[in-house]
Amino acid sequence: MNTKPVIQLIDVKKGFGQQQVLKGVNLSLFEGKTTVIVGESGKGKSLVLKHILGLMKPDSGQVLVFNKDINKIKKKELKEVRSYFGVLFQNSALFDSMTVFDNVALPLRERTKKSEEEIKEIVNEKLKLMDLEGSNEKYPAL
Amino acid sequence: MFLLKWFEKMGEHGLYYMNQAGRMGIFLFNVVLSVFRPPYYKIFNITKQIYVIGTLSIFVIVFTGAFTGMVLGLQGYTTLRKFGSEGMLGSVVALSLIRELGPVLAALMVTGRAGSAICAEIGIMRNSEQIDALECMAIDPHKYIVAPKFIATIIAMPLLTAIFNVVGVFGGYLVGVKLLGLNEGAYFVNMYKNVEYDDIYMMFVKSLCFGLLIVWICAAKGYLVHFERKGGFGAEGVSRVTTYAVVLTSVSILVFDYLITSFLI
Repeated sequence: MNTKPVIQLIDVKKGFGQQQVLKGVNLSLFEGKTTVIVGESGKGKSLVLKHILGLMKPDSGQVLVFNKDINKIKKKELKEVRSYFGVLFQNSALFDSMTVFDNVALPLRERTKKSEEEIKEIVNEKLKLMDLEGSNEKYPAL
Repeated sequence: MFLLKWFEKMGEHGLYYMNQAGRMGIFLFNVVLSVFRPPYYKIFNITKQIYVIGTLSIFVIVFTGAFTGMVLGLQGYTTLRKFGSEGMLGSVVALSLIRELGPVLAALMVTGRAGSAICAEIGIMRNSEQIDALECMAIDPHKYIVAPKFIATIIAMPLLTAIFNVVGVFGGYLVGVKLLGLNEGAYFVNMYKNVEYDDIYMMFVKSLCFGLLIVWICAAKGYLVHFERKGGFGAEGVSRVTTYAVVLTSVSILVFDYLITSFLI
Protein backbone atom coordinates (compact mmCIF):
# COMPACT_ATOMS: atom_id res chain seq x y z
CA MET A 1 0.00 0.00 0.00
CA ASN A 2 1.17 3.49 -0.88
CA THR A 3 1.99 5.44 2.31
CA LYS A 4 1.30 8.82 0.75
CA PRO A 5 -2.36 9.83 0.95
CA VAL A 6 -4.14 10.52 -2.36
CA ILE A 7 -6.78 12.62 -0.62
CA GLN A 8 -6.05 14.72 2.41
CA LEU A 9 -8.18 17.13 4.45
CA ILE A 10 -6.19 19.46 6.70
CA ASP A 11 -8.04 21.31 9.46
CA VAL A 12 -11.12 21.87 7.27
CA LYS A 13 -13.78 24.11 8.79
CA LYS A 14 -17.15 24.86 7.28
CA GLY A 15 -20.21 26.56 8.70
CA PHE A 16 -23.57 27.88 7.54
CA GLY A 17 -24.57 31.04 9.36
CA GLN A 18 -24.31 30.35 13.08
CA GLN A 19 -24.04 26.59 12.61
CA GLN A 20 -20.52 25.19 12.43
CA VAL A 21 -20.71 21.76 10.72
CA LEU A 22 -17.08 20.84 10.05
CA LYS A 23 -14.95 21.85 13.01
CA GLY A 24 -11.40 21.23 11.85
CA VAL A 25 -11.58 17.91 10.01
CA ASN A 26 -8.29 16.07 9.42
CA LEU A 27 -8.54 13.05 7.16
CA SER A 28 -6.16 11.05 4.97
CA LEU A 29 -7.32 8.57 2.34
CA PHE A 30 -4.85 6.10 0.84
CA GLU A 31 -4.75 4.34 -2.49
CA GLY A 32 -5.98 0.75 -2.41
CA LYS A 33 -7.66 1.15 0.97
CA THR A 34 -11.42 1.25 1.48
CA THR A 35 -12.46 3.95 3.91
CA VAL A 36 -15.92 4.29 5.40
CA ILE A 37 -17.16 7.49 7.02
CA VAL A 38 -19.89 6.84 9.56
CA GLY A 39 -21.81 9.36 11.61
CA GLU A 40 -25.15 10.71 12.71
CA SER A 41 -27.43 12.48 10.31
CA GLY A 42 -26.50 16.13 9.73
CA LYS A 43 -22.96 15.77 11.06
CA GLY A 44 -21.32 16.60 7.72
CA LYS A 45 -20.52 13.29 6.00
CA SER A 46 -21.88 14.47 2.64
CA LEU A 47 -20.25 17.82 3.24
CA VAL A 48 -16.83 16.15 3.53
CA LEU A 49 -17.42 14.38 0.21
CA LYS A 50 -18.53 17.64 -1.45
CA HIS A 51 -15.34 19.30 -0.22
CA ILE A 52 -13.24 16.47 -1.64
CA LEU A 53 -14.96 16.90 -5.02
CA GLY A 54 -14.44 20.67 -4.93
CA LEU A 55 -18.20 21.28 -5.03
CA MET A 56 -17.88 23.32 -1.82
CA LYS A 57 -15.12 25.51 -0.54
CA PRO A 58 -14.05 25.33 3.11
CA ASP A 59 -14.15 28.44 5.29
CA SER A 60 -10.60 27.53 6.28
CA GLY A 61 -8.24 24.60 5.86
CA GLN A 62 -7.02 22.68 2.84
CA VAL A 63 -8.32 19.85 0.68
CA LEU A 64 -5.53 18.10 -1.19
CA VAL A 65 -6.25 15.64 -3.98
CA PHE A 66 -3.15 14.07 -5.56
CA ASN A 67 -1.22 16.60 -3.48
CA LYS A 68 -2.92 19.58 -5.15
CA ASP A 69 -5.19 21.99 -3.32
CA ILE A 70 -8.50 21.40 -5.08
CA ASN A 71 -9.65 24.94 -4.35
CA LYS A 72 -6.58 26.55 -5.86
CA ILE A 73 -6.13 24.61 -9.08
CA LYS A 74 -7.34 25.86 -12.47
CA LYS A 75 -10.75 24.90 -13.85
CA LYS A 76 -9.17 22.70 -16.49
CA GLU A 77 -7.14 20.80 -13.87
CA LEU A 78 -10.19 20.50 -11.66
CA LYS A 79 -12.09 18.89 -14.53
CA GLU A 80 -9.28 16.39 -14.97
CA VAL A 81 -9.13 15.58 -11.24
CA ARG A 82 -12.89 15.10 -11.16
CA SER A 83 -12.74 12.67 -14.04
CA TYR A 84 -10.99 10.24 -11.62
CA PHE A 85 -13.97 10.26 -9.26
CA GLY A 86 -17.06 8.10 -9.38
CA VAL A 87 -19.86 9.50 -7.27
CA LEU A 88 -23.22 8.09 -6.28
CA PHE A 89 -25.25 10.95 -4.87
CA GLN A 90 -27.65 10.60 -1.96
CA ASN A 91 -30.71 11.06 -4.19
CA SER A 92 -29.12 9.29 -7.16
CA ALA A 93 -28.95 12.66 -9.02
CA LEU A 94 -30.18 10.99 -12.19
CA PHE A 95 -31.35 13.35 -14.91
CA ASP A 96 -35.05 12.79 -14.45
CA SER A 97 -36.11 14.46 -17.70
CA MET A 98 -33.86 12.15 -19.72
CA THR A 99 -34.32 8.47 -20.55
CA VAL A 100 -32.14 5.76 -19.01
CA PHE A 101 -30.24 5.53 -22.31
CA ASP A 102 -29.60 9.29 -22.42
CA ASN A 103 -28.49 9.30 -18.76
CA VAL A 104 -25.78 6.74 -19.48
CA ALA A 105 -24.88 8.34 -22.83
CA LEU A 106 -24.55 11.89 -21.45
CA PRO A 107 -20.84 11.88 -20.48
CA LEU A 108 -19.96 10.07 -23.71
CA ARG A 109 -21.82 12.65 -25.78
CA GLU A 110 -20.44 15.63 -23.91
CA ARG A 111 -16.89 14.54 -23.11
CA THR A 112 -15.88 12.40 -26.09
CA LYS A 113 -16.05 12.65 -29.87
CA LYS A 114 -17.55 9.19 -30.33
CA SER A 115 -20.19 8.70 -33.01
CA GLU A 116 -23.79 8.03 -32.02
CA GLU A 117 -23.37 4.42 -33.23
CA GLU A 118 -20.36 3.85 -30.94
CA ILE A 119 -22.18 5.49 -28.02
CA LYS A 120 -25.20 3.26 -28.60
CA GLU A 121 -22.98 0.19 -28.51
CA ILE A 122 -21.24 1.23 -25.27
CA VAL A 123 -24.47 2.26 -23.53
CA ASN A 124 -26.22 -0.99 -24.45
CA GLU A 125 -23.23 -2.96 -23.18
CA LYS A 126 -23.27 -1.07 -19.84
CA LEU A 127 -27.02 -1.48 -19.45
CA LYS A 128 -26.65 -5.20 -20.10
CA LEU A 129 -24.03 -5.42 -17.35
CA MET A 130 -26.51 -3.81 -14.95
CA ASP A 131 -29.39 -6.10 -16.02
CA LEU A 132 -31.16 -3.06 -17.44
CA GLU A 133 -31.60 -4.33 -21.00
CA GLY A 134 -34.79 -3.05 -22.58
CA SER A 135 -34.97 -0.06 -20.25
CA ASN A 136 -33.47 2.32 -22.80
CA GLU A 137 -36.58 4.40 -23.32
CA LYS A 138 -37.76 4.35 -19.70
CA TYR A 139 -37.32 7.30 -17.37
CA PRO A 140 -35.49 6.91 -14.05
CA ALA A 141 -37.62 6.70 -10.91
CA LEU A 142 -36.22 8.86 -8.14
CA MET B 1 -28.94 48.30 22.25
CA PHE B 2 -32.03 48.20 20.03
CA LEU B 3 -30.37 50.57 17.56
CA LEU B 4 -27.25 48.40 17.45
CA LYS B 5 -29.35 45.33 16.70
CA TRP B 6 -31.17 47.25 13.97
CA PHE B 7 -27.90 48.28 12.34
CA GLU B 8 -26.62 44.72 12.65
CA LYS B 9 -29.73 43.42 10.90
CA MET B 10 -29.52 46.06 8.17
CA GLY B 11 -25.85 45.26 7.62
CA GLU B 12 -26.64 41.55 7.39
CA HIS B 13 -29.36 42.25 4.80
CA GLY B 14 -27.07 44.56 2.86
CA LEU B 15 -24.26 42.01 2.79
CA TYR B 16 -26.64 39.26 1.69
CA TYR B 17 -28.00 41.30 -1.23
CA MET B 18 -24.50 42.42 -2.24
CA ASN B 19 -23.38 38.80 -2.19
CA GLN B 20 -26.36 37.67 -4.25
CA ALA B 21 -25.82 40.47 -6.78
CA GLY B 22 -22.16 39.46 -7.04
CA ARG B 23 -23.06 35.79 -7.52
CA MET B 24 -25.57 36.70 -10.22
CA GLY B 25 -22.95 38.85 -11.96
CA ILE B 26 -20.41 36.02 -11.89
CA PHE B 27 -23.11 33.63 -13.11
CA LEU B 28 -23.85 35.84 -16.15
CA PHE B 29 -20.14 36.20 -16.86
CA ASN B 30 -19.67 32.41 -16.77
CA VAL B 31 -22.69 31.82 -19.01
CA VAL B 32 -21.58 34.37 -21.62
CA LEU B 33 -18.07 32.92 -21.52
CA SER B 34 -19.40 29.38 -21.92
CA VAL B 35 -21.35 30.41 -25.04
CA PHE B 36 -18.08 31.15 -26.84
CA ARG B 37 -16.06 28.31 -25.33
CA PRO B 38 -15.72 24.94 -27.12
CA PRO B 39 -17.12 22.29 -27.38
CA TYR B 40 -19.62 24.00 -29.63
CA TYR B 41 -23.27 23.24 -29.55
CA LYS B 42 -25.22 20.44 -30.90
CA ILE B 43 -27.76 22.53 -32.75
CA PHE B 44 -30.55 20.29 -31.41
CA ASN B 45 -30.03 21.62 -27.86
CA ILE B 46 -30.70 25.18 -29.03
CA THR B 47 -33.60 24.38 -31.38
CA LYS B 48 -35.25 22.40 -28.58
CA GLN B 49 -35.01 25.43 -26.28
CA ILE B 50 -36.26 27.78 -29.03
CA TYR B 51 -39.27 25.49 -29.30
CA VAL B 52 -39.84 25.42 -25.51
CA ILE B 53 -39.25 29.13 -24.90
CA GLY B 54 -40.38 30.59 -28.23
CA THR B 55 -42.79 28.34 -30.10
CA LEU B 56 -44.76 27.31 -27.04
CA SER B 57 -45.17 30.99 -26.11
CA ILE B 58 -46.73 31.92 -29.45
CA PHE B 59 -50.30 31.21 -28.37
CA VAL B 60 -50.14 33.49 -25.33
CA ILE B 61 -48.32 36.15 -27.36
CA VAL B 62 -50.92 36.09 -30.17
CA PHE B 63 -53.77 36.17 -27.67
CA THR B 64 -52.43 39.10 -25.61
CA GLY B 65 -51.22 40.90 -28.76
CA ALA B 66 -54.66 40.70 -30.36
CA PHE B 67 -56.49 42.05 -27.33
CA THR B 68 -53.90 44.76 -26.68
CA GLY B 69 -54.28 45.95 -30.28
CA MET B 70 -58.06 45.78 -30.02
CA VAL B 71 -58.23 47.83 -26.84
CA LEU B 72 -55.73 50.33 -28.29
CA GLY B 73 -57.98 50.60 -31.36
CA LEU B 74 -61.04 51.21 -29.22
CA GLN B 75 -59.42 53.70 -26.83
CA GLY B 76 -57.48 55.41 -29.61
CA TYR B 77 -60.52 55.84 -31.83
CA THR B 78 -62.63 57.30 -28.98
CA THR B 79 -59.90 59.76 -27.98
CA LEU B 80 -58.84 60.77 -31.51
CA ARG B 81 -62.46 61.37 -32.56
CA LYS B 82 -62.62 64.20 -29.99
CA PHE B 83 -59.94 66.00 -32.04
CA GLY B 84 -61.28 64.92 -35.39
CA SER B 85 -58.18 62.89 -36.17
CA GLU B 86 -59.50 59.33 -36.28
CA GLY B 87 -57.41 58.83 -39.41
CA MET B 88 -54.31 58.75 -37.24
CA LEU B 89 -55.51 55.60 -35.46
CA GLY B 90 -53.17 53.33 -37.47
CA SER B 91 -50.12 55.37 -36.42
CA VAL B 92 -51.21 55.52 -32.79
CA VAL B 93 -51.76 51.78 -32.55
CA ALA B 94 -48.58 50.89 -34.41
CA LEU B 95 -46.31 53.34 -32.57
CA SER B 96 -47.70 52.44 -29.14
CA LEU B 97 -47.17 48.77 -29.88
CA ILE B 98 -43.77 48.96 -31.56
CA ARG B 99 -42.12 51.44 -29.21
CA GLU B 100 -43.63 50.45 -25.90
CA LEU B 101 -46.38 47.93 -25.37
CA GLY B 102 -45.12 45.22 -27.70
CA PRO B 103 -41.68 44.68 -26.15
CA VAL B 104 -42.89 45.16 -22.56
CA LEU B 105 -46.03 43.01 -22.68
CA ALA B 106 -44.38 40.29 -24.75
CA ALA B 107 -41.50 40.19 -22.24
CA LEU B 108 -43.89 40.03 -19.27
CA MET B 109 -45.79 37.17 -20.93
CA VAL B 110 -42.59 35.25 -21.68
CA THR B 111 -41.44 35.82 -18.09
CA GLY B 112 -44.63 34.27 -16.76
CA ARG B 113 -44.65 31.38 -19.19
CA ALA B 114 -41.02 30.52 -19.93
CA GLY B 115 -39.02 32.42 -17.27
CA SER B 116 -40.79 30.69 -14.41
CA ALA B 117 -40.24 27.32 -16.11
CA ILE B 118 -36.51 28.03 -16.56
CA CYS B 119 -36.15 28.98 -12.90
CA ALA B 120 -38.10 26.00 -11.56
CA GLU B 121 -36.32 23.51 -13.84
CA ILE B 122 -32.83 24.68 -12.89
CA GLY B 123 -33.83 25.03 -9.21
CA ILE B 124 -35.02 21.43 -9.09
CA MET B 125 -31.85 20.30 -10.83
CA ARG B 126 -29.82 22.12 -8.17
CA ASN B 127 -31.81 20.68 -5.28
CA SER B 128 -31.71 17.12 -6.59
CA GLU B 129 -27.92 17.42 -7.04
CA GLN B 130 -28.14 17.04 -10.83
CA ILE B 131 -25.95 20.13 -11.26
CA ASP B 132 -23.37 18.70 -8.83
CA ALA B 133 -23.49 15.44 -10.80
CA LEU B 134 -22.73 17.32 -14.03
CA GLU B 135 -19.76 19.02 -12.39
CA CYS B 136 -18.49 15.66 -11.16
CA MET B 137 -18.66 14.36 -14.74
CA ALA B 138 -16.55 17.39 -15.71
CA ILE B 139 -19.45 18.81 -17.75
CA ASP B 140 -19.84 22.57 -17.36
CA PRO B 141 -23.43 23.15 -16.15
CA HIS B 142 -23.34 26.76 -17.38
CA LYS B 143 -22.70 25.48 -20.87
CA TYR B 144 -24.84 22.36 -20.79
CA ILE B 145 -27.94 23.68 -19.01
CA VAL B 146 -27.97 27.47 -19.20
CA ALA B 147 -26.21 28.46 -22.45
CA PRO B 148 -28.80 26.82 -24.81
CA LYS B 149 -31.61 28.59 -22.91
CA PHE B 150 -29.63 31.83 -23.04
CA ILE B 151 -29.13 31.68 -26.82
CA ALA B 152 -32.72 30.52 -27.41
CA THR B 153 -34.26 33.37 -25.39
CA ILE B 154 -32.10 35.98 -27.12
CA ILE B 155 -33.22 34.61 -30.51
CA ALA B 156 -36.88 34.06 -29.58
CA MET B 157 -37.62 37.32 -27.80
CA PRO B 158 -37.35 39.74 -30.79
CA LEU B 159 -39.35 37.30 -32.92
CA LEU B 160 -42.10 36.97 -30.31
CA THR B 161 -42.20 40.77 -29.96
CA ALA B 162 -42.55 41.14 -33.73
CA ILE B 163 -45.41 38.62 -33.74
CA PHE B 164 -47.05 40.49 -30.84
CA ASN B 165 -46.85 43.78 -32.78
CA VAL B 166 -48.17 42.40 -36.08
CA VAL B 167 -51.11 40.70 -34.34
CA GLY B 168 -51.73 43.88 -32.30
CA VAL B 169 -51.82 46.02 -35.45
CA PHE B 170 -54.44 43.70 -36.94
CA GLY B 171 -56.34 43.73 -33.63
CA GLY B 172 -56.50 47.52 -33.89
CA TYR B 173 -57.55 47.17 -37.54
CA LEU B 174 -60.35 44.81 -36.59
CA VAL B 175 -61.84 47.24 -34.07
CA GLY B 176 -61.00 50.54 -35.82
CA VAL B 177 -61.81 49.59 -39.41
CA LYS B 178 -64.17 46.62 -39.31
CA LEU B 179 -66.08 47.50 -36.16
CA LEU B 180 -66.03 51.31 -35.98
CA GLY B 181 -65.97 52.01 -39.71
CA LEU B 182 -62.67 53.86 -40.09
CA ASN B 183 -61.27 54.08 -43.62
CA GLU B 184 -59.00 51.10 -44.30
CA GLY B 185 -56.56 53.10 -46.43
CA ALA B 186 -56.19 55.84 -43.79
CA TYR B 187 -55.39 53.23 -41.14
CA PHE B 188 -52.52 51.65 -43.07
CA VAL B 189 -51.20 54.68 -45.00
CA ASN B 190 -50.77 56.79 -41.84
CA MET B 191 -49.10 53.86 -40.14
CA TYR B 192 -46.72 53.48 -43.09
CA LYS B 193 -45.95 57.21 -43.06
CA ASN B 194 -45.26 57.55 -39.35
CA VAL B 195 -43.47 54.38 -38.33
CA GLU B 196 -39.75 54.88 -38.87
CA TYR B 197 -36.65 52.76 -38.74
CA ASP B 198 -35.78 54.22 -35.29
CA ASP B 199 -39.03 52.84 -33.86
CA ILE B 200 -38.23 49.34 -35.10
CA TYR B 201 -34.68 49.71 -33.80
CA MET B 202 -36.00 50.67 -30.35
CA MET B 203 -38.28 47.63 -30.35
CA PHE B 204 -35.39 45.38 -31.33
CA VAL B 205 -33.04 46.75 -28.65
CA LYS B 206 -35.72 46.52 -25.98
CA SER B 207 -36.71 42.96 -26.85
CA LEU B 208 -33.07 41.84 -26.84
CA CYS B 209 -32.41 43.46 -23.45
CA PHE B 210 -35.61 42.04 -21.98
CA GLY B 211 -34.74 38.59 -23.31
CA LEU B 212 -31.35 38.87 -21.62
CA LEU B 213 -32.98 39.99 -18.35
CA ILE B 214 -35.50 37.13 -18.40
CA VAL B 215 -32.99 34.36 -18.97
CA TRP B 216 -30.36 35.88 -16.69
CA ILE B 217 -32.53 36.51 -13.62
CA CYS B 218 -34.67 33.39 -13.93
CA ALA B 219 -31.78 31.02 -14.63
CA ALA B 220 -29.55 32.59 -11.96
CA LYS B 221 -32.25 32.42 -9.29
CA GLY B 222 -32.76 28.72 -10.02
CA TYR B 223 -29.03 28.00 -10.25
CA LEU B 224 -28.28 29.81 -6.98
CA VAL B 225 -31.33 28.50 -5.11
CA HIS B 226 -29.12 26.94 -2.42
CA PHE B 227 -27.83 30.39 -1.48
CA GLU B 228 -31.29 31.74 -0.68
CA ARG B 229 -31.45 33.29 2.77
CA LYS B 230 -34.73 31.70 3.78
CA GLY B 231 -33.51 28.32 2.59
CA GLY B 232 -33.89 27.18 -0.98
CA PHE B 233 -34.41 23.54 -0.14
CA GLY B 234 -37.22 21.28 -1.25
CA ALA B 235 -40.36 22.06 -3.21
CA GLU B 236 -41.16 25.11 -1.08
CA GLY B 237 -37.72 26.62 -1.68
CA VAL B 238 -38.07 26.22 -5.46
CA SER B 239 -41.60 27.62 -5.36
CA ARG B 240 -40.44 30.66 -3.36
CA VAL B 241 -37.46 31.35 -5.58
CA THR B 242 -39.56 30.97 -8.76
CA THR B 243 -42.07 33.54 -7.51
CA TYR B 244 -39.23 35.86 -6.56
CA ALA B 245 -37.57 35.42 -9.96
CA VAL B 246 -40.78 36.28 -11.83
CA VAL B 247 -41.40 39.37 -9.67
CA LEU B 248 -37.79 40.56 -9.94
CA THR B 249 -37.73 40.01 -13.72
CA SER B 250 -41.05 41.84 -14.23
CA VAL B 251 -39.91 44.82 -12.16
CA SER B 252 -36.52 44.88 -13.92
CA ILE B 253 -38.25 44.88 -17.32
CA LEU B 254 -40.24 47.98 -16.37
CA VAL B 255 -37.19 49.75 -14.93
CA PHE B 256 -35.03 48.92 -17.95
CA ASP B 257 -37.87 49.93 -20.26
CA TYR B 258 -37.64 53.45 -18.87
CA LEU B 259 -33.83 53.47 -19.00
CA ILE B 260 -33.64 52.18 -22.60
CA THR B 261 -36.35 54.62 -23.72
CA SER B 262 -34.52 57.55 -22.12
CA PHE B 263 -31.32 56.55 -23.94
CA LEU B 264 -32.88 55.95 -27.34
CA ILE B 265 -35.58 58.60 -27.53
